[in-house]
Amino acid sequence: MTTDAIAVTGIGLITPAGPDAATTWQRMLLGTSVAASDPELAGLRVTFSCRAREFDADAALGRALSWRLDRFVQMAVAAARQAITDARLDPVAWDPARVGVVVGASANSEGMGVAWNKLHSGRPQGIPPMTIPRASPNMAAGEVSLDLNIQGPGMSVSTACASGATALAVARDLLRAGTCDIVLAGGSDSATLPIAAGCFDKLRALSRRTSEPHAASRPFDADRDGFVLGEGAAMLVLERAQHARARHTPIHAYLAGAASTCDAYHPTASRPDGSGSARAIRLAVAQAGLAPEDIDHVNAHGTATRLNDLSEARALGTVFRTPPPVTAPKSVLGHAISGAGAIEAALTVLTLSHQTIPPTANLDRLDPDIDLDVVTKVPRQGRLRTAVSNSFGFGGQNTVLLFTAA
Amino acid sequence: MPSMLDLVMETLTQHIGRDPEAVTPSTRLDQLDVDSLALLELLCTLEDEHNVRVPDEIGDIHGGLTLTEIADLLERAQPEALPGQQAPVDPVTAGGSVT
Repeated sequence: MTTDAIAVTGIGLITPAGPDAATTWQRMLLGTSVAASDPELAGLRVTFSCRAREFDADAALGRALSWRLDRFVQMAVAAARQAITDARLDPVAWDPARVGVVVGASANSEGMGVAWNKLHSGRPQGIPPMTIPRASPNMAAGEVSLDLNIQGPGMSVSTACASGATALAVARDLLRAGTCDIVLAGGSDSATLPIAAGCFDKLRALSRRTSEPHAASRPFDADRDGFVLGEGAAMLVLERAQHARARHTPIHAYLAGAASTCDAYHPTASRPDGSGSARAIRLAVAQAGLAPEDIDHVNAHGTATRLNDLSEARALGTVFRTPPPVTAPKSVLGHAISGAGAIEAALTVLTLSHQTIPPTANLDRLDPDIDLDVVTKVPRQGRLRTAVSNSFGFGGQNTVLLFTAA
Repeated sequence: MPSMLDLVMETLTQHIGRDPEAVTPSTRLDQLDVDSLALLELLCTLEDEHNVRVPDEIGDIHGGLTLTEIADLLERAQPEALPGQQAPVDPVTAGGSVT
């Protein structure tokens, strides 16, 4: 076991704001939502979403590969390719047995939907043979390994909306245990599928502001009414800092803390006092050898549901005497479910490397029950040495990541 | 009406993403990097979208066959010759193999 710092040396991003990290970051700085009407959701109560419209899987991967991958797998593979390019890694040159992959994933599969449709339309003979290898949540990690010749541990983790963040926490442990020298870790989800929209809406989790989709995702705002479904993937290259320095690659930031807790309270609701998530924040801060007053920024889970935002605000108010400036990326990107935690981790790293906090969209009137300094309207620059990224999932599963500037 | 060979070539290019320039009647499956999963997808697509009968014994198809030989095997498996098409060709005498 080593306590060597864990470096982030590569970022790959596919989001509704752009098909790569640079485009996504520039769009984040505008602080406006990318939500739009979604024809594929026609007939449902909620008919808008945040789709990654600029991601063309056939162009990014080639049709000879993309045809057999579910969309969440396509995005994971494309993001992984971006990440290793950014990290100046060559899969031909590395020792494949010393490289691992951990991907946060869920059950949102278009391939499984096709199979269900064949079955229910009386055409079971039409079920595509590739359905299982296309739709299984583990195949995001499996196909990334196949694509990049990675032969160390490969796995998907599932902690609902915290999955992408939990994947980074697992990757950190693989590196600290000495199991791997390099781990690609992240999350991916195609949560804009009609079945997902229909199901989340029945939980009353989604905003129903169909007349103005761009104004629908409004974390911490008094008029919020739920989240907007999104999709996307982020893959990060993690390695021990010593390993990164030895190969002279730039370090974007350090993953200095990664803590997971469970509320054990309710299937979908967080503890109202935020105590479960507060405990995860405290643990991550302690792992980094820091105190709460050392934290310069919080990248919030910020879903814009009434319960989450209140609970998260209370958690932050519990941990921090004066909570540091907060931003909520789901206001711009929507909620990519199992991809969200990794996307927000990547954005937190970019926040530190650019020394700029991207603004929260649609925050016109802070909920009077929420006492937070939420960055809104325009980016805020400042000296940012440390940042926390919160991710909380159904099942009461919380993961908090703490990054420090390189 | 497209021939069986047309359907095989179209499915390989449009559904399984193979390069149209590489997909010719004399191309072998293994030259197109069509593995066992892609072959299953090819046969299922022909069956589901084009009503091609694909009996279980058609599993004898393997990567060493050309697309023409595969189309001939499939034609032989149909209940009767499609109107306007040639009589089925024996794949063995045509130079192919069914084992």
